Amino acid sequence: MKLLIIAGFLGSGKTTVLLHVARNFVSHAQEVIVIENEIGEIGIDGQYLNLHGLEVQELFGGCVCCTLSVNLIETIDKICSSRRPDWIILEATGAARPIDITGNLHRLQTKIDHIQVAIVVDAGRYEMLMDMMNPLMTTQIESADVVIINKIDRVDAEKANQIAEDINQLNSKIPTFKMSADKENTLDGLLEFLV
Amino acid sequence: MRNETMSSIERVQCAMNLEKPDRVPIWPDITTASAANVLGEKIWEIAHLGFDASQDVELKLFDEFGGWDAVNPALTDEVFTLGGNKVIKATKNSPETQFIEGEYTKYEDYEIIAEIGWMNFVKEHLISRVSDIKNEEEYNKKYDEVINGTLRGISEYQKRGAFVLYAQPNNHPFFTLSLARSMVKFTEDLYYRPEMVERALIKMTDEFIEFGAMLCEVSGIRIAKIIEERAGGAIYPLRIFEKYWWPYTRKIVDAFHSQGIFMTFHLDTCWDKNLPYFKQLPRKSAMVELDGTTDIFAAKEILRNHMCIASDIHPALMSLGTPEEVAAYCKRLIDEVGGDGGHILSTACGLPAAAKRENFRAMIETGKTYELSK
Ligand SMILES: Nc1nc2c(ncn2[C@@H]2O[C@H](COP(=O)(O)OP(=O)(O)OP(=O)(O)O)[C@@H](O)[C@H]2O)c(=O)[nH]1
Ligand SMILES: [Mg+2]
Repeated sequence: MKLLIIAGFLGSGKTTVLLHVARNFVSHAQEVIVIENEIGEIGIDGQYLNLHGLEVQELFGGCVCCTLSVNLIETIDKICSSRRPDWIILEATGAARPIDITGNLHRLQTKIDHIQVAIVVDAGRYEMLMDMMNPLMTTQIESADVVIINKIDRVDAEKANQIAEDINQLNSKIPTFKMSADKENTLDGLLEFLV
Repeated sequence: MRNETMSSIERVQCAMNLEKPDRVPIWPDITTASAANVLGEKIWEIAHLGFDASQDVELKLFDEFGGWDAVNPALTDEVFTLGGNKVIKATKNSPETQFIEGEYTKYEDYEIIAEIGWMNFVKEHLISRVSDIKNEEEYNKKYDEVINGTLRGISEYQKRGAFVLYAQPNNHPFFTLSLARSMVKFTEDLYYRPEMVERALIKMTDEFIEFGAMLCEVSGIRIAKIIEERAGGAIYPLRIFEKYWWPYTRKIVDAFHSQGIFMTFHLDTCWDKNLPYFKQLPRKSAMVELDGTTDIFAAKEILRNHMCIASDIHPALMSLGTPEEVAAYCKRLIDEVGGDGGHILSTACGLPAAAKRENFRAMIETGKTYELSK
């Protein structure tokens, strides 16, 4: 069983990316369970993914920074007590640092073979967020396995390249994928990377 | 049990005054959800029964464990709702209050807030966007229930000899605006057009002082609590903190300090980089509550002999750890953060709803029996 965490700021495109990824896995006969950490209007993302035929569990948490990891562990253990999907995909709230989410996974009773953290950044807001919320953006990017630069339709090609370069300055080993997740067929490279 | 030579009230006061008590004062910072869980009761039923029912569950836990030192009245969902937050009550599947972040305010609202203040803004505009409270009459009714319930909670705890830390907390103006506007939008406002945000912050700061002092007056508890989950250095660079958080905070603390009101800061996320600023506040004017992401041992070095620290037993430890692990961490806190006083043994960001009974017991018992060695 593998765990993919998709994190990133509010509205960056996490659900849109998740939907593509999950559908692709399902079409390759992989069993997928999605965990939604709802921070926006309750259940909306979950319902949307449900409509697209995905099985969704909601992850509840009183406080983003501290109880999230506890509830995630309980949710994964609960899922795994009845079955063992190939993939669990978690959409996590933008205020969380991946380390706060994954920091306690060693307490899981269920064994996870592989954990990947994908950060989605909104290209149109990258500059503003990098300036204004530099510490959070930086830790998110530094702890990611892959960064998805989304909404590149909102910036020109030069800007998109600059963002990718900027991210590689922070973490030279990290692969970046530029895309417009709400358009079809933009995630080929990403999918290969994840699998 | 060790020989106790101080009352709970003396013990907590001693810690706040940076002196060495007979043993560490204990404040488990329970919530109704965690109390219900430890007692084996159902929070999703209790949460609908009104303030007094929540308070009674918390009192029951206090009595069942032979009490502890510092307490606070029940902090019910209604307290947050009346403050303008969108919350969803606990359910069987989700035994914890949910805070739903969204864009409940528009940029233009800052101007209204700067004019009429946050509380009036909540009553007249925001409350209908985030709750099913329809009019001021309903709002006032719920408000009275919370105030009366809080006063009863305080009096019940005082009868039991406990030290009441504060009446009810309030979110920092910065955090309040961020929650109501959503984090990204609020940050965009600060980036592109901060003028109106600043005007709102100024008004809200004055209001915070006025309301805080009023609450202290009404409750007789001369400690105010402020919550901030976002302004710390793990999220915003120091220049944002210096511009939009620290001056307002100083103003609040200075005003309270001059009126003899002590301040306790609930600081979520990592504040490693921000804590040196707290040394600018008058010595013994405040206390910080850390949430397990700030390095509490480094914090002690920074704040030693200046400010009391409420410690940080992490929710993961309380709910997924073992009693031995909890006891070991409590001992380390008592040795390293509390050896010379200035420490209240507490949980990070409150006792989590999933805390195990045996872990809770381990915390309380270690606190009551472990000797302050240094
Ligand atoms: N222009 C543009 N819009 C996009 C793109 N991807 C997603 N969106 C839109 O951006 C909005 C937010 O997308 P979501 O996928 O819901 O983003 P999210 O990160 O899941 O949002 P939250 O769960 O609310 O934090 C939606 O209106 C999407 O249709 C993109 O590549 N380009
Ligand atoms: Mg989403």
